[in-house]
Order: sequence, then C-alpha cells, then structure tokens
Amino acid sequence: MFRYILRRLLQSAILLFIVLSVVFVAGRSIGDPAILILGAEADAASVLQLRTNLGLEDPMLTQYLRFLGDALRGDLGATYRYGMSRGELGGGLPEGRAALPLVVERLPATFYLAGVAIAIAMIVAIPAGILAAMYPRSLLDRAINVISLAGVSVVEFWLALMLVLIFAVTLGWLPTSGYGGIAYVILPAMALAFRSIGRMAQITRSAMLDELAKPYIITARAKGLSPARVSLVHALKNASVPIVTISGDEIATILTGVIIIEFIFSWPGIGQITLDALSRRDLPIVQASIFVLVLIVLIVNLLVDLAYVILNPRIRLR
Amino acid sequence: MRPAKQNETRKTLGDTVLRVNNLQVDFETPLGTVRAIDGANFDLRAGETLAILGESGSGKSVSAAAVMGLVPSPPGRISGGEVLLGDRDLVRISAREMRRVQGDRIAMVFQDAITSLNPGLTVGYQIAEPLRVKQGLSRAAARKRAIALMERVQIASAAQRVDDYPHQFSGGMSQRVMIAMALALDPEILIADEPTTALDVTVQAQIMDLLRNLQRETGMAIILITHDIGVAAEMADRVAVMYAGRIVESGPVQDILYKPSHPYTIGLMDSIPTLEQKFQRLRQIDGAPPVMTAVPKGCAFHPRCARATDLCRTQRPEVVYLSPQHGSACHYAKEVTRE
Repeated sequence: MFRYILRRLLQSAILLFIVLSVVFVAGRSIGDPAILILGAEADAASVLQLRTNLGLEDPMLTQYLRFLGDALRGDLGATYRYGMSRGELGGGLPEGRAALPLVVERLPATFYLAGVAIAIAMIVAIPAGILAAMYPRSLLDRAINVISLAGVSVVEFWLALMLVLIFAVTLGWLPTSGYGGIAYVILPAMALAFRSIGRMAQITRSAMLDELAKPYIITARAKGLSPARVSLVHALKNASVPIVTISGDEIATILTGVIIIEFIFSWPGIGQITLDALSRRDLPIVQASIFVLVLIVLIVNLLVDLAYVILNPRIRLR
Repeated sequence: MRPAKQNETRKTLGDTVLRVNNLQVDFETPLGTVRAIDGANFDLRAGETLAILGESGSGKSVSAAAVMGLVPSPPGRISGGEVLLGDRDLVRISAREMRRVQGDRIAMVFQDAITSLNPGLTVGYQIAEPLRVKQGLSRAAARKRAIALMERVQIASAAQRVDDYPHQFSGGMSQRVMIAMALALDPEILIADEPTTALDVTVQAQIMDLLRNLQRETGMAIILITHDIGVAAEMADRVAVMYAGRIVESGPVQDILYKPSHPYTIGLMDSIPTLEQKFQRLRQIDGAPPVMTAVPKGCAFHPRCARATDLCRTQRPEVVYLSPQHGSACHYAKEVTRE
C-alpha cells in the first residue's frame, strides 16, 4: 500500500513537471512581457532594460532551469500588474506581489462553488442512475436519457445565461451574480453541475445494469433479499468503481468549467483571476493558476485511485 | 401418499414436502413463445434426494428456477401448474411472501460458485447476510454463526478466512461457501443446480460427500439438477429424466438404472463408457436434442428413437406406470428394455 502510494506520487510529480514545461513554452510564445508591461509605444532601450531585469535576455535553457527551480520553491513569479498602477513599475524590476499566494487566496471561493456543484451533481445523478437501472425503460429511465443528452449538448455559458435570465431576471428569485451565501451559489453551481449530472447518471445506470446482469445477483435474489438490498448492497458495491471514476473525471471537468462560470457570475475565485490575467497577459498569474488547478486534479485522481483499492478487493497492490 | 421405500437403509423417508403439478414455463423470444417446461410433475419427500437429469436445454434448470421463484421475467413466465410447498402454491404467492420462502425454506446452490458469489463482499458477510437481514442477528452474532457454518462445510481455519473475499478461494472452496450460505437459515429443501460441474473430479467427490453428510445431519431434502448420470446414480434416491421440457421417466434410482423404460433413458445408459468397451467407439444417441422453438409433434424424442411408430409421431404419450413409483412417458414403456 505504501509503495503504491509512493509510486502514484512519483507519477504525479512527473506529470506536474511536464505540465510546467508546457506552461513555460506557452508562456514564451504569447508575446514579449516587457512590451506588454511597458506598452507598445515604449522605447527600445527601456524594453531591453526590463527584458534584462526580467531575465528574458538569458539563454532559453537558463530561463527554463531558473523557472523550474523557482517553481520547486513555490515561486511562480510576481504579478506584472495585478493590483498596482503602471507608474509603480518604472523601468525597473516589477515589485508586484508573488503570483502563487494571489491565486491561492482565491481558492476558498472556488472550492465553495465547485464543492456545491459537485455535491449537487452527485446527489442528483447517482440515485437517479441507480433508480433508472432498477426500473429500466421506466419514465425516469427515459428522463435521464433526455437530460444527459441535453447535458452533453448544452454549452455551459449559454446555460448560465439562461438560468440567470429565468431565475434572476424574470422570476427574481435569486441574485444575478456576486459572491455570498447560499442564494448566490445556487445558479452558478447548477450551471456547472448540469453537464456532469447527465454523464454521471448515464455511467451509474450502465454500471448498475452491468452488475445486475451478473450471476451473483441471482444468488442474492435466491437468498430472499429485497430488490432494494440486491441493488443497493450487492450491485452498487461492484458498480462503485466506475461511479467513482466518473465522479473524479467530473470533478476535473467542473474545475475547468469553473473559470468561465466564475467570470459570468463575478465570482471572486481562481477562474476570475485567471481570465483577468489572461486578458492582461499577466503571465505569472496564469502560470500559477494552471499550476494550482493541475495540482488539484492530480490530487483528485490520486484519491480516486486510492478509493479503488478500498472498493475493489481484487485490485492487488505490489 | 406413496409408500416409503422398504429397502432404504440410510434413512427413512418422510412426508412429501414439495409437489410440482403440471408446471408450465414459457419464454418470449423473437421467434415466438417457447414452452421451456411443458407439464412437469414431480414431488419431493423430506430427507430424500431427487435428481433431475437432462441435457442442457432440457428444462431442468428452469424447473429449479420455477420452484425457487427465480424465472427471469420478462422474458420468462410460469404459465400454468402449481408448486405446492405444504399447502401453499408458490406460483401464486406475492413476491414479498416468496422472499420469506427463499433462503428460509428453500435454498439454492448454483453451478459456478466463483461467479455466483459477490466479488465485492467478504464471504463472511455473504454467509451471515440472511441471518442479519431476516433474523435480525447482531453483527457479532452473525459473524460467529458464519464461522460456525464455514466449519460445518469443512473450510479449514474458518475464523481466519471469514473476512476473505471470494477471489481468495478456489472453486471447490467457493462451492463450500455457497453451501454454507444456503444452510444459514436451515432450509427444508436445498436445490443444487449442477453444483460440481465446474469442479475437478476429486473436488466433485468431496462436495458430493459433504452434501450427503449435511443431508444426514439436517434431514433436508435435496433436488439435484445434473446432466451426469453417474452423479445421479451416486447421490439420488429417485431420478426424474427430462427431455425437451418434459419429464420422460421418473422413479427410484435402482429402477432407472437397472430397468430403464424409456428409449431416451436407455440411450443415456448406453452412452456411459465402460471398461469392457475400452477399445470401441463410444455409443451415442443419434441426432441432437430439438430446438425448443420447434419441438417435434407427438413424442418429442421420436426423431431420435429407433422404435418410433406413427403413433409416436402423432400422439403425445401419457405416463405409463410400471410400478407405483416408476413411470415412463412412452407409448411402448412396457415393452422397451435395455438389452
């Protein structure tokens, strides 16, 4: 078990290294940060001065190794302009705040929204999928099919706008946007959860149907157990592996979806700061938020893998 | 009531515990309705072993499923007849009432124990489950009973193995777990559907011994579904031979073995290899069993029967009794004998 965790941690570290490399290359391809900071009308001398100060005149390899070394220490650079006026920059080194803490302090808001969305998705989708499998071709079964088809077809931001239009503008039940208590989180969480509900319900349904067709189900029925017990204890235990897998995938999907949804609902999370930074070419912030999001997804995947071991006794660990 | 066998030394046979009358089971298929069981009659007495002998597709497993209330529906349906347990007709009781029969009064052991156990639950949980759910035993008490049941089916170091999962058991040991599970609520009837088919010959013999010993201890009646005439000969007090959804011959095991009176049974007996005919070709029944969507008219066996006449081709034979207990559904039952 210990060695398994160690191996998985090592794999995650390698993946993180690859992602960081991609971020480095992408970051050097979106334009000269010095010109972005100083503006297009800046003279060549001060651009060169700033490039030297930023280390952009060094050879690529040196820059890359420095980037990795800093990243290892949790330093993903300082923001170019977040929270300061252009005058403060002058011609010298930007004295902006470190990017990583700026991103990390947005995490609670993002976790709040994503957590509610994931909870909604799981609470709705898993029972619905189980019931659909227990009563195939029932009304519920058909309804889940329609909803999941709609879920994979609808674009999140369109759905978000429609939800706002219906529940906030027309009906006036909920606020249109902003950060706050439960009333504020409902619409963005629903917009995030909708697609996942359909997919999770489908996977749950088909996993349950697979298990319910297996011989051990007949054994369970021959013991005179109730249909609920046969489904919820016997079939669900074995169907739980694909259900946990899809839940992990959907958590990752929701974490990426959160960027656009936070923007639409002015939700002060990691997504909002990332989009903001992107539009301002604030590279360190973008790097930091990609780093944080990838780290979260890796942790979720690690937890999913550990859950397999608990749920499926046949998975042998070496 | 029929008299108990006089020459029985192992045990005395009791009252009839189960009576199946004119059972019919239909399956809806894309090719139309198939009658998988067409008027089966048999009864089972306390403490005896009845072997239902037949090829695959003969309806023997469907008969067991029908008694057990496990005919898959849809596409299956019990379309006629009765299954009397005492004075209750199991065909007509509700699903809820049937669940109080399943496991409590009739338990079942399946062919492939490895796939018939839940891979995600410990064997101890699966054995103890009926005790916890149906008798409300505490977790600790049920676990203790599960260990005792595992010891009873001779699983070594049961106390250590109770928390193991099915994949940690061999085929023979899995079948012992299945038997322990079936015994949990002390049923009057055990239906064993090809319990040893998936096992090695030596393990087969051990499982059969175990079933025999458990029957002696508990006095439960056993319905043994098998395609193996040797298993039937060794285990059964009485044998019912099924062919194309009908019981073609039934009677005490000695009568079936030594005085078979249906051409199909005779064909089965002849196809058993013996040491004397070592260098001969194995004898077989010519032809193949009928496809159930197109069962021949008259006697279903007539296309494969050497002595078939026009009567056999047109008229379904009624059961002819050669002795009070020995019946054969052949027009010429009194004439056919094994040479």
